[in-house]
Amino acid sequence: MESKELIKRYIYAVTKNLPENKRQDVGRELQSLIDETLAERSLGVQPTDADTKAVLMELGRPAELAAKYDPHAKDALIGQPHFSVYLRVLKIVLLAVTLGMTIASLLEGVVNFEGNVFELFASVLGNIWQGLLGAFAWVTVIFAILYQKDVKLDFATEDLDDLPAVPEKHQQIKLSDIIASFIFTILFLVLFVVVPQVNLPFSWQNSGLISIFNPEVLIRLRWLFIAASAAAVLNQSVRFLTRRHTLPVFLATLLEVVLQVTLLLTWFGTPNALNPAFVEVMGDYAPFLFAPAIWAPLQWLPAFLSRIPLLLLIIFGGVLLGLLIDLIETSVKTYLAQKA
Amino acid sequence: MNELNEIYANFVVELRRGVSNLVVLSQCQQPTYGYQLVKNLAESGIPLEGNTVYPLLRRLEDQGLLRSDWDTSTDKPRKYYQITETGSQLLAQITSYWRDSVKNIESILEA
Repeated sequence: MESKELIKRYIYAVTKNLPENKRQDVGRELQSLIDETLAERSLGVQPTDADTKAVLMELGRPAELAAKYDPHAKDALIGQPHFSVYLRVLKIVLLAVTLGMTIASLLEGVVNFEGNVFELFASVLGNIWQGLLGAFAWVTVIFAILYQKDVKLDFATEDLDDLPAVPEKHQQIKLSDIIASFIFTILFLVLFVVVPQVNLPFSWQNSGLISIFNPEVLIRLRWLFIAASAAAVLNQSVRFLTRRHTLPVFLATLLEVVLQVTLLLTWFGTPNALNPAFVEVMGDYAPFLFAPAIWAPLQWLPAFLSRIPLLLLIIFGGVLLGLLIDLIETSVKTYLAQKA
Repeated sequence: MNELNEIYANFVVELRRGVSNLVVLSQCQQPTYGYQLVKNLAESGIPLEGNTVYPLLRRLEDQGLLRSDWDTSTDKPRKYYQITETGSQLLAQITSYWRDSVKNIESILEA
């Protein structure tokens, strides 16, 4: 190849991935360096192609030279300090997904059981594998973005004077609590969003397995379920990163509670939220559970709530109580921690 | 033996990387261009290669320690670099840090 063409290609290879505004200038400067080196080596005689090659070889491989021009280039997909957190999160997520997918796909397999145990196991293992691959991909992509964008993973400032006090044991958020609620979230998400036709299987005398909730409603409200689960995961992530009661933990908890209540009200307020087949089986035994809650003791409830079947209203009341206790506990602990 | 050579080479690379900023910055007190800089350094027994010096000049410029101008008056266009006010301040600090370090390291190496 002719010298001129070789140099042109070399410079192009070095500069093609540099930022637009630098490309031309770097190219021009390299050209001047190469020209000057060649002129000096060949002592005024026309440089040979071999001379050119030797000079370019000394400059090094184009990709390596390009890397030197890009000081912010990161040479890892996920580096420190994100990598340590990534490994811990990955372990927890893979554990939770394994548990969640095992339970969910066993339930699904049993509901749709056609007499072949081998097939059941194959499908359970297949589902777990799919779940693990997906979880691995998501965690990796998220951490790669966080690392590449230099997003800080703790909420503390860099200022030494603002370093928070070491929390007392009772002020810390227990890792086991975080993992437990994460596993619960995964299970919830898998049962109601991934396999809505299964959701919560129920059996009464010889009815066979029937899902309690109406799959059509679950499918229609899919995005609300995903949003509520995402808020839960966000809350767990903030808790995992701070491990103590701070304002971000309180805000994330508040967001989760608001979304969960919105979900429950929308879901249970939908006509036929319960599976009609389930109502048919159970309706004879406990008819009052499926009637709208318009009986005397609950007449003070708003009309919207009183249309909800009593069974769902009881579930709603129970969950609401749990959420409120959680929110109050978080508020009090956050307040105390802020005051300290 | 080969392994020792490799460790030695890495050691030298690390050491050189640390001081190349100081060396290059110190040579830009008069307007100078990359190729001249490489030659001058080689003559002074400091062999820094073009593929180190050129990206380094640009990085120092991005940091506001050097400024640059193209000289296109001859048939060989050259990009001249010169130290800025900030660059001079930093150079003074680093130079004094370097001298202290060399003195201290020398004294523990002698002991």
